[in-house]
Amino acid sequence: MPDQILGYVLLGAAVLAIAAIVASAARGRAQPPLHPPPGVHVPPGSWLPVIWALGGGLLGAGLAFKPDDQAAAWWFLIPGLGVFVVGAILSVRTAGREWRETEHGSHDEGSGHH
Amino acid sequence: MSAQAPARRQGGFPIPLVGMLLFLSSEVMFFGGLFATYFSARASFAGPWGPPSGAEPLEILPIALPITLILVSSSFTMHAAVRAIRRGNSGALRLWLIVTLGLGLLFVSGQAYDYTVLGFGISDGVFGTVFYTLTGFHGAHVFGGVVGLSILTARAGQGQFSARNHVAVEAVSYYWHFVDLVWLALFSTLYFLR
Amino acid sequence: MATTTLAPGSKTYERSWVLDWLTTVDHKKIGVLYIVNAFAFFFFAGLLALVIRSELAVPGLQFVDESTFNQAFTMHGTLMIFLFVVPVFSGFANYVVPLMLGAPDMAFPRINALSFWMLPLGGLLIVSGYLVGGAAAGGWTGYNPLTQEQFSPGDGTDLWIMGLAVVGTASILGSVNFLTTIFKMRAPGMTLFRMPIFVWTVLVTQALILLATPVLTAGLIALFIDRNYGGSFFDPSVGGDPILWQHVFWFFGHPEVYIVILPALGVVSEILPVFSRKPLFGYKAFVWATIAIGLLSFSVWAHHMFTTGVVFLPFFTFMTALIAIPTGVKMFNWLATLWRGSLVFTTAMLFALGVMSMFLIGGISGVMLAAAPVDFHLQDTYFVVAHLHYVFFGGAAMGVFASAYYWFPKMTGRRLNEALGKVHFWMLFVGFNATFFVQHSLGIQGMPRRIADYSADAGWTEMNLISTAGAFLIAASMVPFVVNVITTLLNGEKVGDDPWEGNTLEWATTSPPPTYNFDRLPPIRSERPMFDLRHRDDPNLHPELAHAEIATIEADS
Repeated sequence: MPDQILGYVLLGAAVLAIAAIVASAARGRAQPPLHPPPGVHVPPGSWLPVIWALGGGLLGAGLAFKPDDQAAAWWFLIPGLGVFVVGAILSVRTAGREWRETEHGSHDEGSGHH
Repeated sequence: MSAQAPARRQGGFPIPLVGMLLFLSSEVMFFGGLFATYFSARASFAGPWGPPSGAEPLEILPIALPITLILVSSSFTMHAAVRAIRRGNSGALRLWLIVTLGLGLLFVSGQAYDYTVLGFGISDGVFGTVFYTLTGFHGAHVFGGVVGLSILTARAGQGQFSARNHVAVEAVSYYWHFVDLVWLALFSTLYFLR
Repeated sequence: MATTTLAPGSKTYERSWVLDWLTTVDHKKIGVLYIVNAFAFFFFAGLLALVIRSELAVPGLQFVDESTFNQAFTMHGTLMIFLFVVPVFSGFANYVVPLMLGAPDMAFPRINALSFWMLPLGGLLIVSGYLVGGAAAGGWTGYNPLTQEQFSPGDGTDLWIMGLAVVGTASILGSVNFLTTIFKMRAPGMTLFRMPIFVWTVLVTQALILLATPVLTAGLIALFIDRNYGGSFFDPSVGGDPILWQHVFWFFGHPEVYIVILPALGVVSEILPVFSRKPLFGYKAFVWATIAIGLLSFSVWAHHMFTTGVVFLPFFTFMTALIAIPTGVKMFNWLATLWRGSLVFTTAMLFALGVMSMFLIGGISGVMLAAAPVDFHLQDTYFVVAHLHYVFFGGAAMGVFASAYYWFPKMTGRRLNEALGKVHFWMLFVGFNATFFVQHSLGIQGMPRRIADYSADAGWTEMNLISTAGAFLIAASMVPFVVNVITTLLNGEKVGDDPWEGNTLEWATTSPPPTYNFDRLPPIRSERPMFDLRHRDDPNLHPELAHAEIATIEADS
């Protein structure tokens, strides 16, 4: 019991610290959109990294929380695998879309051609 | 793989292939760590080394040698796929990719079947532990390669590869040959070196 | 310009900043995320250190029981190493390396983001042990058979294993990214031997991560199989070998400590030339020394195992002592850089000098430990604790603060307050030495490490009290730092592109840089392109650059 209380207190303190620092860092961050020089492409934001990381975390939790008589904790593992597969499918579709746009979209010099 | 766009003309060895080679060196170290556990256990084991009593000793037939030949030939078909797309032949690329994929699936199924008939498990002593850990992680890597090949096949079907733009095929072929080499080392260690 | 998905359109900036940061693939934002996440774990693990020092101040168990204490030092070590000191330098490297190379971003931006997001999730897995009956308690080194199911029941250790596996995978992906970027995305004119020294240390660090971390992953998986699937890797009762764990762990663990320190040494090598107004002495020697340290780091692992009885002592003593030589080369290079320089004692410079002096002490105690007969007496005592904190904290963590003060203006466009910075430095310096110098004596007197309590007759009480007082001074020194960061972000002194008159390319663009980093680059003819640019009208320096125009990339407007 003392472990748990200590754990909660420390976790709460850490979360508050992160929130405070992030909040103060994020204020005043917005920059006006600037145009990169020609030939420099800035990739847009993507949800895929968060999705993949979440999937991996759930898989890890599924294995770590496993009950003694089973191969894994299915409550975590199945959603984890699901998120992973969704992430994989989305990644392939994004790759396909980007390929199509690079080949048939912009006409900057040599950008999509390896 | 997504479209990379550096600020100047790309020369030399393509970036995705550099990434794949680096990743493969980390995989060499990973399997190296696992092999280290095998050799360490082997070296310090008192008594006859092999499956625990009650189980058959390891034999290359009827499963281990055939699946080895299957995996080795899949490296040849993979290379045929790469040569096809280097010549711009997208149709032949698809064909060889599907053959390679099929051979890979055969390997994994053969390995899985072997597990059911071996007669010992991961919890049956040190030999069982190292055997299943090594072959299991290798099999998982082959499965990962199969997934990669499926994605390549789908993209090839949509005509996304050409003679000058097929770096993903090259990258997956590096991975596939690596997986084959690891199996050759594993097969020799488990079935010949013993 | 290109289609909307390949170039930032104005709609990017209408989204909330939360979504912006969650989906960013910009190496600069990812670097900031790494640093913020790492400092969160730093404060958490620091609180755990206060728990440890509070308990050890006087004999008797006043605050926690042994189980809680064991979890405290295990989590303190694990979180400080894997979730603070390695990722924070990955964060600084993520921000600074593409800028120093003149590149628009890292080679694989999405994998870069993935590497980051796996960190808080892996850290959460590790820490969630506290919520399920007890976190891992087997030491950050996880020795067997203590971490086997029989002696560490419950999910805490399994969560530790899985969390570290996630964090390790993140590191390996990051190393692929860094190495590809450094090899393939340097600006024209930047040969390998014109790269900034910090980039060289990042290169060797990431190569070590690439090759050493997978071995840890293999060992962690083996331990997991032992604990959960009836495996027999390390359990002697079924034919396994507990010493095998030590070999596998330390084969990773020793390169790991160089992974920790090399970026800090790189930062010092950037800061000293700028604030001595002199080039780094012996650039090439420094590069070769770094490479030598990287290579040698794989040959010394068993010096952590001298007392097991299975190690060939002369070889490992020799190789360990050998690795002190390239480290010494660096120390002398730094001294020669400072010699007859026009020194400017900014806070960044103070921290860099702190790294030099504290790492020197840590290195000397390390060479003492390298001698096997000495190690027989000092293994697992507080002497080792003192040594590791002098190199990890005095070396690496002070390097973290040096990086923070040095690059904060570039990242935010505002300079941290120097007065508060100096208060932070001196409180930290005094507190740190008070905490850890006495621990050398404690170790020599025989106080073992990882004990929750000790006898009042041992004669260790006074030094433990001093050490605890020092620890609270360290904690207090963080107050001016945090206050400084927050007030500067809100309303600090604004700076332009190059407040320090730096040498390297990150100072060639605005503070903070635009998303795509550079509108134009100066010509690159040496490892100090910005210095060359400032002195381009000096005929004694690079005559081919006299009156050179700065342009390679043209801005749109």
